[in-house]
Amino acid sequence: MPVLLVTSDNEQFRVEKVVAQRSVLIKNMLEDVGESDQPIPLPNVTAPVLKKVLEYCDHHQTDPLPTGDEPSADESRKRTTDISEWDQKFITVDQEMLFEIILAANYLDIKPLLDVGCKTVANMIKGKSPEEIRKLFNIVNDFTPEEEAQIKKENEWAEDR
Amino acid sequence: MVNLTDDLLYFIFGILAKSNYLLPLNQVCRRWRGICNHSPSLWSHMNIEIGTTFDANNWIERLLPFHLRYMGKVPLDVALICKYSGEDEPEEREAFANLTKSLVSSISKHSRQIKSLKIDIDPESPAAINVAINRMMSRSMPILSTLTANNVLIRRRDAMKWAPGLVNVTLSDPMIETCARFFKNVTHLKIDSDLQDTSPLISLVNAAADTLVSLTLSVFGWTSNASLAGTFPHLKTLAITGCCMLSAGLLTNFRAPSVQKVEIGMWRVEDLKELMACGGISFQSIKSITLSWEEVDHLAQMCFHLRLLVLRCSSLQVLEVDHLASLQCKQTCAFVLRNSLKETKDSPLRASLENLIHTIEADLNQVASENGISIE
Repeated sequence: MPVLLVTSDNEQFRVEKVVAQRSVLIKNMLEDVGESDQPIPLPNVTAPVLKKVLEYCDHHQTDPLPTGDEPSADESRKRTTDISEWDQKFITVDQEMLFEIILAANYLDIKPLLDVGCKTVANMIKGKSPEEIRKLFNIVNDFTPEEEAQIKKENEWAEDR
Repeated sequence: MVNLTDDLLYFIFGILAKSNYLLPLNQVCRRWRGICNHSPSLWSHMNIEIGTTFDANNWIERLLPFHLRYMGKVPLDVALICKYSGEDEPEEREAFANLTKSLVSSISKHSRQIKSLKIDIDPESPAAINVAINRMMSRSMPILSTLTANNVLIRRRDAMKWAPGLVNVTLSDPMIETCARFFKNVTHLKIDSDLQDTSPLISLVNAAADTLVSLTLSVFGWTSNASLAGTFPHLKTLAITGCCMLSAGLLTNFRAPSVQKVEIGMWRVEDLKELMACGGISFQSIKSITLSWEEVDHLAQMCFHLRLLVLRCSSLQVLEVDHLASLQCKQTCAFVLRNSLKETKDSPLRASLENLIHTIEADLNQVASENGISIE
């Protein structure tokens, strides 16, 4: 049975239940309301982002769902920064969309997608200096002169050891 | 990036922490610095690899003080990997030894926080490194639960004496002889060995008989007459893998009534016979068997015993046969299993057997089509 999802910009998406249920949030909602054709509102997700997220869910619809029961599930997820070929292609988007996908995956509780997004950001950061990271993500260096001095001191302290 | 919550940034930083890449993050902006410096668990994984390149050594030397400063009192996962090539100049050798000693000494001061410890030493490393590691292992480690040690030469008699919570141990040869007496509480033991004389290895396993839940022996040949003796009341998983040959009598006095999962690497039909002859294993309780079947002589005999084994383990749910070497081996195994299938109509094993036959036959068909052979 298809499920109707409504985005924050009021666009409707009709998707197969098995695809929608990749999101733990939607899965729980469906279980709570039972069989119903009521649309499910997703106030934190816009249509272009949901379209992308659903593309991921559709491709991965037959993957086993992460149980989260393992004591160190989070730890094992962090262990590697490897991303499968399809996922890599999927996540090759502009920065704004990448962060939107991460936020949506977090909100919709789609852990594997959250992993892909966060690993992609981690891979972008790896190997860069603080200045290069600032430039890459357009982050303002807001350290006070005192903090700058402290950072410098810390580095000297580490180098002297 | 601004929109990402602190939790999400923390998650991303956690990924980078595994690659030793925290240092630049706490110098980007106030927000990032706050997350880094106020999240001790980000600094709790110390992945210290020494000896790969000068830059890598330098980076680790710079990074460690930050770990020590920001990790607080959280439990630590420490990996110390020394990759000494052994071909450098004497000065470089000395510098390598000094760096390693200094890092080990810094970590040693926090031994009470170490929860898991992995040490992998290149056998060509300067002896001074082992001295420093021995000193560290003799310190109090009250929360240490997991130890992986490769090529660590333990000389001090009090090494690991102060790690009462150690339950999960993976070892290679040099540690085996000296540490048996300290592994009384171990529940999970894995040993990789190419020792000529396997008696110390057997002594170590026997010493932990009362507590072991899982035992994996990956060995290259049994040359001693020592046997696994005594009762292992809690042992659930028994794996004897590698290029082992179960020596005659290895399992004669072995009692493990709770074993449910068995993994055996077989080379000869005697290996299977030795397993079958073990009176201390309750075959009716075994739920899973994995046979790693590499080169096998007497194929027909092997298949005969395999069939007996399948029929004897009435609760068996999973049977796996890995590494079937030759086409003939695959064919015969599939044939035997198909016959066993007829005799296990209502057995819980049926699904697993069908699956196994399917896998072997698919494999067979692929090999056959690649070689243009027709298979009946």
